[in-house]
Amino acid sequence: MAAVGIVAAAGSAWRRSSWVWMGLALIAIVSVITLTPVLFIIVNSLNGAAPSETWRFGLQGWREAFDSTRTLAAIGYTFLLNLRALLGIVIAFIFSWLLTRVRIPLGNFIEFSLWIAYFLPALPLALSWILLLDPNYGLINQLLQPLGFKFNIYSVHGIIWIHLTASTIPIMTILLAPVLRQMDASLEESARMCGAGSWQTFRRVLIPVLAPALFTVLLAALIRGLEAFQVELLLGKPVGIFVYATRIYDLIQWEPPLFPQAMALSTLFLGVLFLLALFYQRYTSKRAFATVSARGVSFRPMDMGRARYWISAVLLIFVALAVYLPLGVLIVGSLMKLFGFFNIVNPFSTRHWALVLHDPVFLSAVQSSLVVGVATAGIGLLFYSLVAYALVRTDIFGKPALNLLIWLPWAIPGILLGLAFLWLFLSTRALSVFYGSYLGLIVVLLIKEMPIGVHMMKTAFVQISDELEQVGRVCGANWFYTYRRIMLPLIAPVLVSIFAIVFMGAIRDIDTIILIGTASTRPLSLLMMEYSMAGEMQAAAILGVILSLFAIGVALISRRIGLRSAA
Amino acid sequence: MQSSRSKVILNVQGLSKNYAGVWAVRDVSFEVYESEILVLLGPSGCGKSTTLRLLAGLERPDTGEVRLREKIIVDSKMGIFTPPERRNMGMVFQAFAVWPHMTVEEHVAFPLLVRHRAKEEIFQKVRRALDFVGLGGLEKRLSTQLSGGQQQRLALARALVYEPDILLLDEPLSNLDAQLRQQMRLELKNLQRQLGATFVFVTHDQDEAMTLAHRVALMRDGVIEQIGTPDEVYENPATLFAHSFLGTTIRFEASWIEDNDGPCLQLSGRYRLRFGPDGDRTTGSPTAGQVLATVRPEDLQIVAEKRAPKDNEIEAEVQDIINLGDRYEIALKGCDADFVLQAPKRLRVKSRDRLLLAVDPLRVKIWPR
Repeated sequence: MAAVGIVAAAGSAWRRSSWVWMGLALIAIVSVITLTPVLFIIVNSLNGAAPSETWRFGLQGWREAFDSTRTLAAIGYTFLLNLRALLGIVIAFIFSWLLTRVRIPLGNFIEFSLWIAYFLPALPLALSWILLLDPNYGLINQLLQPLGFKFNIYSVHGIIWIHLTASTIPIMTILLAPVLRQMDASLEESARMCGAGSWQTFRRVLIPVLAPALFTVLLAALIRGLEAFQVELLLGKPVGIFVYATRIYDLIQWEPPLFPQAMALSTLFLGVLFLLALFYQRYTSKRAFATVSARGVSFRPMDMGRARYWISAVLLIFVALAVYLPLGVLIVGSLMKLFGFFNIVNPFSTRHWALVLHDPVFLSAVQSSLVVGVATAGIGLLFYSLVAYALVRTDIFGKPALNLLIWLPWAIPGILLGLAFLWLFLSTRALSVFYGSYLGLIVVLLIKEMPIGVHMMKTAFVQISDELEQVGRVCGANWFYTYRRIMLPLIAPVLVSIFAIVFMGAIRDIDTIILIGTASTRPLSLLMMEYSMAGEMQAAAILGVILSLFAIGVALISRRIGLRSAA
Repeated sequence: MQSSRSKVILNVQGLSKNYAGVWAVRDVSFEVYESEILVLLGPSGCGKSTTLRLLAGLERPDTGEVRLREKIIVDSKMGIFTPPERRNMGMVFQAFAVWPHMTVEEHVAFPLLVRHRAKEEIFQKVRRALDFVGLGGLEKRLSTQLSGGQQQRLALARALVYEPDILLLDEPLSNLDAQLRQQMRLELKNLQRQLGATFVFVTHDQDEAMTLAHRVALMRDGVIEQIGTPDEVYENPATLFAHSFLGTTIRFEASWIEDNDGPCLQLSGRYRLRFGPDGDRTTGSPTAGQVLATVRPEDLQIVAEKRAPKDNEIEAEVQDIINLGDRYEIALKGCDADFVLQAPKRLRVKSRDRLLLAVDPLRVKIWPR
């Protein structure tokens, strides 16, 4: 007996120290991959040497960067453009309320369309809006010409429009709908029974109860919005509208690149984003889900009589505008001889498709996209689930630090992350194998997708009661067997969803990998970007169509297998 | 009894609700009298909650008419539908539906605020309502800091503070533990008596129905099977379902036969139940052959003699004896039925004994097969 006791005590001591080591190891790995780019940016912002000389301390970069009126203008535009989050949350809240609380025709189709919008890459959508709203040859503008009126997509409201329809509203709706589904409808019903009308119920009960969720979604949208880059570059640069992120990119594009200035701007950017991300993480972790009762939450969607057709119509018009119109136009554009020129003789042709599909560059890009996407998602699942499991289920050392580090990549704009790793790969002999190989792309994308991946994994683990796992152990199964036979099947739907999200994030990414991708590893997204920058719009449209098809496929799969539960 | 003296406050005619081709509630009609507790009782999925939600206005009926104090609030034919907030009804939900962002005081003030009452009046009424349900002194607490029982009282205070015409309660006790449930049951009844309020109370718990109800409406498959005082429904169930849902039922297979003494009901091929000249309680004629005879456990008397059974007596074998301290519960098997009877402790029995049981023929119910 005594011997057993000693062994058991030794075992638990070993266990405890092993938690410490595991914790330290995880923190070390995560710190290296998240803090390296941060340090790189800060150190380089303080470089006072000329481009060809070695590093020397100096504050010129900071001074020049913030003396420039263009920087101030960029900050102003960033602020202006991000006001869309406020408009977005109002509309998204109404949409998600209608989708969850009212029985409307085609509700499932509408929700699915929003999923597609969530997965669609931004660049092709921007391309097709150019086709529609270009001030000179835009289709809608040609139709409006007799009225003496035209839209200009190259403008602040053009950029806001694309963001709102293609990402802000769909993402916010997708995030809010499950929250509303989980909220017990009797909270609203009891207010109405007390004599409160719809408006008072909305204002005094629904909004306050959901305030934490609304605030979280708003904050997340703000963080993503500050980083947004592609649409701003494509539509803002030609007319001199720069936001903070494109201003940084612009400085890097100078010949020679103005790294100290770019890095100075980036450091401030990092600071702001980090504070937001920190606030977000604190806020979400503290928030008690008081609204979600454990007992069977039941409600039946409301009957709204005739009104439901109107509601459905409004939502259908929105998804048509947000998803199907630009997609359709993109397809049409890809079939044109000359992108946007409808008034030439025989404007349509499949020639570009034939050219692109037979181009070896295209074929290798498809291969790159698939390799990078599948590898990132696959390795991501393993890595994210390991980290998430450690954070949720074990007592490893340094949990709070790890929890915070996980969110750090959210505060690093993709372009800077890419730049930091490019520098790391090129300056470290041991890491030089990463440059020019798929590995480099995969590593960077893994880091980029880490916050969302780990967060979703954690949610999945938290939802599964400890007891389910303990029962397995008590029945005599070891840890691995329990994990394989109980945990994995339970979280399988979530795993599929996370795989889908990481895969799609990887194959549509442009900003993170634009500096790391080389001719031999260039995936579809980069090829599309190159085509559109080089003015080969037809080819870019074709790649946009192909990437969109990927997105629809991924949306279908994840919808099928139940992302409802994961989000 | 009480109800017959009072006036009708709510009148429901031909209420129906269809969900995706399934009738959740089908052509339901009933009345609610002032100051009574009407209990809608039935198994889960019988449509009782839907009926309540139709009364509340949380669901729109497909057909039917509802009048509150002679005012039409729902009429499917004329397209009248008064929204819930304009019905002046109160409701207590199963999960209490307390708002997590409000304090106790704010909760109870809410219905008065939306009615634009004066500050002073709100203050007074909130105090009084909270004292009434025993939450005085907790005004500043957040609702989520309350225990289950307190949340329930809060939901009650919120629903009563504006003196609604009628209070609807949707299984309000089912989220409480057994002991608290019993206590709240009595408190609810006292409260209703003191206020003279009108309750429509939904439950699947027959004990709850028996304790609380002035009248019970027994529902099944979206239809009211029987409506009456608990006593009426218990003593004179209109259907076999009503018989077995309220109280315990012992079922015997039986058949009508004619012997020398006239018609009688034969159980298990040998025991005979005879109903006498005015005891013709047939559902169907004596020639109906195979029937189902039901009794309640209290209608079977254990005969402490060992002899052959006479008319209106059956035999059963003791399967098990459970000692409840003050009495025995005896599990029996006889006439192809398993049932449990209560017995005083002075009864000397052991397992496998055959017991003689006297049946009160006037309390036997006969149902067609």
